[in-house]
Amino acid sequence: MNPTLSELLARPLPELRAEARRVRLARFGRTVALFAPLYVSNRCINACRYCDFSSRHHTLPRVTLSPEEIRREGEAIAATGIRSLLIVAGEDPRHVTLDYLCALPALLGDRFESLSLEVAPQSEEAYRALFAAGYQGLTCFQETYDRALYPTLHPVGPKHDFAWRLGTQLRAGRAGFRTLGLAFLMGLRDWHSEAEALAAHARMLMKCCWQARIQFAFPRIRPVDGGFIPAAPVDDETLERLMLAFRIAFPEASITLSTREAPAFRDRMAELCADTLSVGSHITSGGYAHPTDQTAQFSLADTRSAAEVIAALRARHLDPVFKQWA
Amino acid sequence: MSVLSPLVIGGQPFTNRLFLGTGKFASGDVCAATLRAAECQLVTAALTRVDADAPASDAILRAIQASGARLLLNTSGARNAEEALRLAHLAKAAGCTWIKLEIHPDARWLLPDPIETLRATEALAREGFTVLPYMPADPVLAKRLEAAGAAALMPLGAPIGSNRGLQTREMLAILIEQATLPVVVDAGLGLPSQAAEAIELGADALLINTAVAAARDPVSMARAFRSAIDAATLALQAQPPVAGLPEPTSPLEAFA
Repeated sequence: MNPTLSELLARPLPELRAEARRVRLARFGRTVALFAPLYVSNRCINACRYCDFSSRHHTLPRVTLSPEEIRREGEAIAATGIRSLLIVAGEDPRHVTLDYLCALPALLGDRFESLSLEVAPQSEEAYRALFAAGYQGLTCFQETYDRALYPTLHPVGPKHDFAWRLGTQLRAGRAGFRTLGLAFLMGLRDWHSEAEALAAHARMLMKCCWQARIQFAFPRIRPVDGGFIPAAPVDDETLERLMLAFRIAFPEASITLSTREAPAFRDRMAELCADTLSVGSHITSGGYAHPTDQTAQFSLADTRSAAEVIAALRARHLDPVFKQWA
Repeated sequence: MSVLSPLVIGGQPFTNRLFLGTGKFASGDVCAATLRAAECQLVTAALTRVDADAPASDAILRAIQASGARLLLNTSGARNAEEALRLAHLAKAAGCTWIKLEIHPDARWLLPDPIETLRATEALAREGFTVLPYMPADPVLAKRLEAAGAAALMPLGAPIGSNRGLQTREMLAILIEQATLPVVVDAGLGLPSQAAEAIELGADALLINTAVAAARDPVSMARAFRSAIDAATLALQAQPPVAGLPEPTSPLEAFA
């Protein structure tokens, strides 16, 4: 029986680090899977209070990439050596339709080994179509597992529906998706109960979708243009403790760490617990071919290029992996 | 069989009973040094990980090529027989017809699917592949895989990467006793002492990956496994007065 989260969180940090490192090595060795996010649209009809893509940000230039732009972005990312992509889009059913998403894999061609989605929750039937089109992974952050807080942060739009979002991974798993990503957004409220809920969500998915790999992310809320101030900010040590505890409690699950976090922290966590990192992120639509910072969803802490991240990992005797590896 | 008989798989003799995997290393260079240190003769690499069609630019394939070992491409990542066949065909296109069949739809423990493994073994053997299936330590499945045309049996000692040793010992003993093909214990061995135990149980060879690749010093760990296997082999050949060890002559040879 693996120790519970609360037992783990009570352990001294050096002990947690040593155990997490051992677990990480046994399951993933010294490899680190790399992927790049590709923002295809920042149009959104939701109004999440903490997000730069919120429909209430009227001055934000709105972009949905055309097929030609997607092809160019794919070429620019592939040139960095990255062969695993996360397709990201805001929620706007008028622009980012199921057909639009289903057409993407063919546009990107055989440059990528693995395609995942971080877009609006879909029906099981839609997920079947997306899986058939070439997507294998899905990520959806619940943001908060607090049913009372959730609607106040997501006042309008389809995202207002807590239960529909909570069932996203289950629908995707039933449709055949092979990696199911989940997270809460750290900073919205006290993290203890959120972490317990995240663990319970993962355990439920492991039983119902036994063929799918669980992937945890630990996104921390960062300042946005709208001036959202997190009610319960999470400091570096707490974030580290949580990641280490999840590594030990879920030895088989993947843990990914985004460019929201600083280079030194990411590199260190790759050695201790994270097996997957995003790299060279341009979190604006069209940002790889034409870098700009006008339309970002959130601010980045790690702005290193893919080549710089790869070099830093190798210096730590870690082996960056470009092909998807189950 | 056991280390008391010569090891021949797919018509090829092997004098080194330690086979290695190539996942989880810090780099292609460390992998190459490890293969050299172990004088490995059979090495597996995942088709989903390496560029089989461009071996010259792939660090792992270069390491295997430089070591002189035979390349055994594996289908890790395949969730069913169809996906395994597709991967095997990629291997064949790249000139490799030795396949380590790995079908583990179970995302958590990576346990092999016996039904899909049997289906894929039948299909690949018919197509002329030399098929080494990774399998549960199930003696009946072993007989079915023999009939399906497998070239060797690769039962697990414990889940992949778990380093727990011979958790399947009782079933392995039955499987080995009944096997007419070489038995390569694959997955779960964490220490050289466990490798020696598997040899004493009658295994013909062992495939080790995590225990070596994830060690702080993979080169030394590979040598340690090699020494343990050699020690256990030498001990069996010396015929100790201990009950329950593999017999020097198999009944088949006596009747031949």
